[in-house]
Amino acid sequence: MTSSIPDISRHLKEVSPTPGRLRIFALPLAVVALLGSAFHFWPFEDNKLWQLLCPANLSVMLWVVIIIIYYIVSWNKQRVKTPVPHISVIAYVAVNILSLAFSPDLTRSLIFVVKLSLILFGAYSLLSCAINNERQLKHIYYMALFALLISLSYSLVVRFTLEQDTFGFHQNPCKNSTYLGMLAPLGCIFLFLNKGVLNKLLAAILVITSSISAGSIGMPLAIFTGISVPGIALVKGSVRYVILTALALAFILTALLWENPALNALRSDLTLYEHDGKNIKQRYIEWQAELNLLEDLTATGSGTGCINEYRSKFYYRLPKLNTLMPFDQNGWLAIPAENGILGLLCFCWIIVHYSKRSYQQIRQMKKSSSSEWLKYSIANMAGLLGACIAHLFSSVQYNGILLIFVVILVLIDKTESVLEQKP
Amino acid sequence: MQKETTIASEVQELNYWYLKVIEVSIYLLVLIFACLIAVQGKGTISVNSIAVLLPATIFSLIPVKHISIVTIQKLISIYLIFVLVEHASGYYFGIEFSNSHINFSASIPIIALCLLSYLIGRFIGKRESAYIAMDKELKAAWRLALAVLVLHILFLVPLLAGFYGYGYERSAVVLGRIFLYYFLFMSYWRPLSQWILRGSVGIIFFFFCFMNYYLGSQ
Repeated sequence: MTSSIPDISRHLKEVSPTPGRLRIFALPLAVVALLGSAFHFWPFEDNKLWQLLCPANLSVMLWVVIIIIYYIVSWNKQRVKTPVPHISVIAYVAVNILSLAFSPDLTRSLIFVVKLSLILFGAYSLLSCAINNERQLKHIYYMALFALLISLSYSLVVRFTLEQDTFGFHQNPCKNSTYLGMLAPLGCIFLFLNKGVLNKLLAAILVITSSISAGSIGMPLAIFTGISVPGIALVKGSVRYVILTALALAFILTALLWENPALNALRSDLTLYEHDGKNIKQRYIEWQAELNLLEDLTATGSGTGCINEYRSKFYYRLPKLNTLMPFDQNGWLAIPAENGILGLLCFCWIIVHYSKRSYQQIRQMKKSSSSEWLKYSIANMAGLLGACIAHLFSSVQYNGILLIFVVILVLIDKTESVLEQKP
Repeated sequence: MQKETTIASEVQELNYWYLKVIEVSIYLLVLIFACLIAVQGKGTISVNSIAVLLPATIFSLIPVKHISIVTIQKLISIYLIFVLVEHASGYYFGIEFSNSHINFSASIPIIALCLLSYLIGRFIGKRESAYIAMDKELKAAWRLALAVLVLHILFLVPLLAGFYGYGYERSAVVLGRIFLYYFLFMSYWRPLSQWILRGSVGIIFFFFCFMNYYLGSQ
């Protein structure tokens, strides 16, 4: 099952596993990062310093500092090798760094690249070091579920009982949708495939409540696709019918609550047109503007994090209505618009590589009839699929949400390596 | 038997030198062609921060053998090629479809470089086994990237055409440019495993930056 692609992280793991002293720090920090991501930037959402030093980011930064200190003081530097992601992730960061050269606002782009690198490398290393056996692997899945519960519960309470137009700790419907759109398929499939009726019941409740808490079209699409595709294609037996029943109930309940004020945002987001009826939704005009930008700036893009400086020039004859919601951004188009066609290529490379590995794991486990391990692989695939769909309606690169994307990549990586340790 | 083996190896050696001469000639042609474009004044590169690209270029020139580092170097080189192509594209030809607003134009230097890169990719460059799996994944990544863009265009064109009747005209041009860059990438990616080609790209880029500075100071 080993990948034939040369992979730095695999090489390093074989040379020197994480020393025990580092592992002591890894799991608690990983738990803080994961649970902290559920709170996003609460309670100081408008404070820029807090956005940088929130618990999720701070734990990753602490881990990086610990690694550096340990390396400096270690007498055997060979043993201090921290896992790095696949070359596709490194390539993606490299393209982001190169695009700094064409950025009109270097400071903003630099901050974006630093935060991107922190999570893609730092969080990847932290989570990889936190998972060394099956028990720790399970911990991360349960922590992901706990994060999902926290974020979802608060979102439901404020929207259905306090009648506030807010979307949980993530505040914005697009960010909330992306966050839950990745976590819900990962956590729910994991629970569905766990033994026991209670696990399946909880999974069904999570599916139903996730779909009714949506504020943007991205979330129900991500959840339904992320759960149904693996659920139908990869799961056999009665569990498949349980999954389909849960999805059907989610659909029915959403339809029953359709006129509830809490679903106003979702209702208005499903239309293709603006409220005035005279224009197409600004989101889709924005998509066309990003495509138009690719004509002039195919190679370099607008510069990392600087699409706002350019996009209004590429509306041409299309109307600019200023009705676009914050963070309503198609990640699949924003990446090439900011980093050029090579940026999109590298991101697609990440998706292709990790999808392939996830699929290979599933095939291998089906051949060896390891149903106990199959749940991890199918859950990983569900999470990755959810991320791809959620990325359409809000980018997975936003700070605070990127961590979940990295969690999915690490789980795909570590499921394989932990399984290889199994006698 | 031994005589036959000696003759066969001599023939192989001659073929090897023959290919090497062609290889170096093509690289020199690329260098001269690119520098001519720069000298003509169409090759100015408006880079906001050259302090990022120059160290990256120098990094790509370091001769290393580690596959992952070579991959990053190749990526930097291909990025520089794309930058050069984007900024050095002076002369265009266009096709306009009558009775519609849709037209297609392409840069002549881009097309010329595509043809040249196809020659390099087709006939030159060793295929190292270590890169084969990576190349397959990159091909799949390209297919995904193209599919993503095509699907977006297929969604937006009917929407805009049906509602406004305009706004979608540039989509075909965008697609054409993406495919040109795709062709460039697929042709240059494998040969860039060789340090000499990465070095040529670096030299060309330095030359363009120098011309940019020289023309700007006049």
